Amino acid sequence: MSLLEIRNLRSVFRTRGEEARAVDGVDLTMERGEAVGLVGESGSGKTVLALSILGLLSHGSGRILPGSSIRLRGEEMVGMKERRLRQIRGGAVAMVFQEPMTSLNPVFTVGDQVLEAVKAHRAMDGREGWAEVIRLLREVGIPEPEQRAGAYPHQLSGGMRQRAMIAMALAGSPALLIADEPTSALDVTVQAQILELLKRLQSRFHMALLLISHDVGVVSRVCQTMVVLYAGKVVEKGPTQDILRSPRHPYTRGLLGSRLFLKDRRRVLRPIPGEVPEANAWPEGCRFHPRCSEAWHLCGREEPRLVAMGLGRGAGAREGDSRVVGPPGGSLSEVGPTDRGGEGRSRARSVRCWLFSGDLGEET
Amino acid sequence: MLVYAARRVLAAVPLLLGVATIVFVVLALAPGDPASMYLRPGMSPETLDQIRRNMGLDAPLHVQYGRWLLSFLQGDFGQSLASGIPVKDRILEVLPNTLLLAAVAILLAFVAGIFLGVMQAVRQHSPLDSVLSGTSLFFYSMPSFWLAIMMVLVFSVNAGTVWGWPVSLPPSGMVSDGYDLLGPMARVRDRLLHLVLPALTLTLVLTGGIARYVRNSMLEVIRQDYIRTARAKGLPEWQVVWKHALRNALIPVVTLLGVYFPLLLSGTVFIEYVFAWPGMGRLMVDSILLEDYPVVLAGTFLFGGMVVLGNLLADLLYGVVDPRIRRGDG
Ligand SMILES: Nc1ncnc2c1ncn2[C@@H]1O[C@H](COP(=O)(O)OP(=O)(O)O)[C@@H](O)[C@H]1O
Ligand code: SF4
Ligand SMILES: [Mg+2]
Repeated sequence: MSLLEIRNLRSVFRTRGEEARAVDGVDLTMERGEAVGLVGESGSGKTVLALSILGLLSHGSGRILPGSSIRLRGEEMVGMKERRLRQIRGGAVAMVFQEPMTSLNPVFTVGDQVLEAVKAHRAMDGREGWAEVIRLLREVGIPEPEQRAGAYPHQLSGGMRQRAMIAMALAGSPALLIADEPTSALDVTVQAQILELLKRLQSRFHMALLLISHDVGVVSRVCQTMVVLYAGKVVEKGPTQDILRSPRHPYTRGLLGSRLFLKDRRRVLRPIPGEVPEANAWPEGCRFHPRCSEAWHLCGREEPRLVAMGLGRGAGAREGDSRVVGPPGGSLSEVGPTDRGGEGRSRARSVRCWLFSGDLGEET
Repeated sequence: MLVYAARRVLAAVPLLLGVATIVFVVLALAPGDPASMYLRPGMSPETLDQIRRNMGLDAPLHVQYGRWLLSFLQGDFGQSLASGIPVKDRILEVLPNTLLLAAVAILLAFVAGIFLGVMQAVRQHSPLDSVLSGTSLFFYSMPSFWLAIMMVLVFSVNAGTVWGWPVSLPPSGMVSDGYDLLGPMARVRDRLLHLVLPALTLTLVLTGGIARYVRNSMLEVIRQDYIRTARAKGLPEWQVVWKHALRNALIPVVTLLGVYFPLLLSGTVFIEYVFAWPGMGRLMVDSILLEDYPVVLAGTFLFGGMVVLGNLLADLLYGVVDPRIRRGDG
């Protein structure tokens, strides 16, 4: 049994009568102790996905649609009783947020806020609890934890605040730590330290880590597995190194475009034009098509499916590896002979992601 | 905290002096000659002048002001023209009554206002929220003397039964006739019963505004990231709301305390009048009608002083509830 199994997760918001499908049919599996990176531009649904796991959408205008399933060690969390959910939040599943300043309550000391988390999940009296707080603060590398515990958030630097947030998350000895852009609000040097810390804690406590970032670089430093999210859908997932070496989906290539991971110089190195649309206005067909440099007429009409495929190519391929890429394709054969032969064929050659449909075989 | 408090207190001193000065100037410019109180038929102009000299009214204004301020600082507000007793005694006699009324009302109003405001925020857009909002607005916009009269009509004059309970509350005064004949427990009961209507009226006037303010402040706070953090660490919802959110939502509400002081004071004036409550408000109204110059001056200064003190109190409380201000480094 996997630690976390998400099947067909659909999370929506209702704003002014319109439905925003922020997460739209996501499948994701995480094993114990595994570090998975979730990447995608801002607005692609990463935070909503994370909040869905914790059942925290219901406090906004959002909800998880029926038919979705999130299983934690086999236990269904969608529709779970609030009491049980509370045990899981901060217990088996803990979360660290992007803005360490605004994510800590300004009117309570850091120590008190960590203590609350400790007490919520462990039967400890005040004394033991406080000793545990100091231990946790030390664990995350806060110097002089006895003094710092009495500080208010505004008296700490951004890096220290984020360490305090991580200490709070560790309080319930989580099996899964979700870190939503934990370093995006921090200076570059501090970013590296926090990432190191997360990596260390993950292996030390054999904790699964879902590291969310818009920055592929951040994820690639920590995670063995990478999931690329666009417009509420997973467009590609697989071993991080493989994706970095040979991204299959045009969106992934776009994400990597501005970075220097690509050994293959022939690939286009430029950022993706435009922005992620709002979740209440996803484009028809492939949601990436208005921005995709490889789009063709099919893309605006049909929504390609995610297909699993073996890794028969690309550097670093290992036996037994499998990659899942999306979109498409099962529908290509239905398009008709004109699209497959003649002009259609030559068009199709440039449209890379439609070619991974399997039945057309490997790209030539 | 001490430095912060000292700074706030020092800032209040010139304000109080300013209030004293304005009070003096306004009353010096006001029509009506205080000496005319002593005017009798057939009195000669010389006698009147003599009276004015005795009262110090012949001196140039700035001299009058200097003298007045000096004696003011020594707690000497002069003598009441109407009754001849020292103003200080007159005020000390009624001030506790006003403070009692105000303290009870403000306590009830804040407790009720905070509770209702939080409930409204938690159930934003629910029928409960709308009904409470409407009720708040109703009491908030109603003139306090009219509300006072209504309260008397409902709970005293027309009273008989309310929801099957016999209810009749004393509509005026602080104690019943024959109070002296009552035993100790009956005296306490009598005083409490007399307090109910005026205190309730004043509470109703204040609660709506507070509830509204708390509601909006809560709505602002409840969307903050740290509320999400509180939920994410598995705290029960009541702790998220009543501890994490409310502590933050109360920060701006504290300033409201300062804003509400004038409202409270003007409210007491009308309410004391309607309920014949022997407090500062009544004393002021009576003294104005009698042109009892020294009492009006001292009373106005006290009212102004209370507003300044209310703001000072709000500032100090602000430092208590917001650690970022307390340390003076945020
Ligand atoms: N509370 C909300 N109400 C309405 N729409 C929301 C809400 N939260 C997120 N969304 C929408 O969901 C989409 C995904 O948002 P988000 O998960 O925050 O993206 P990311 O974390 O990847 O930047 C966005 O279009 C955003 O506007
Ligand atoms: S090629 Fe078409 S289907 Fe593939 S990503 Fe681009 S727009 Fe989407
Ligand atoms: Mg986000």
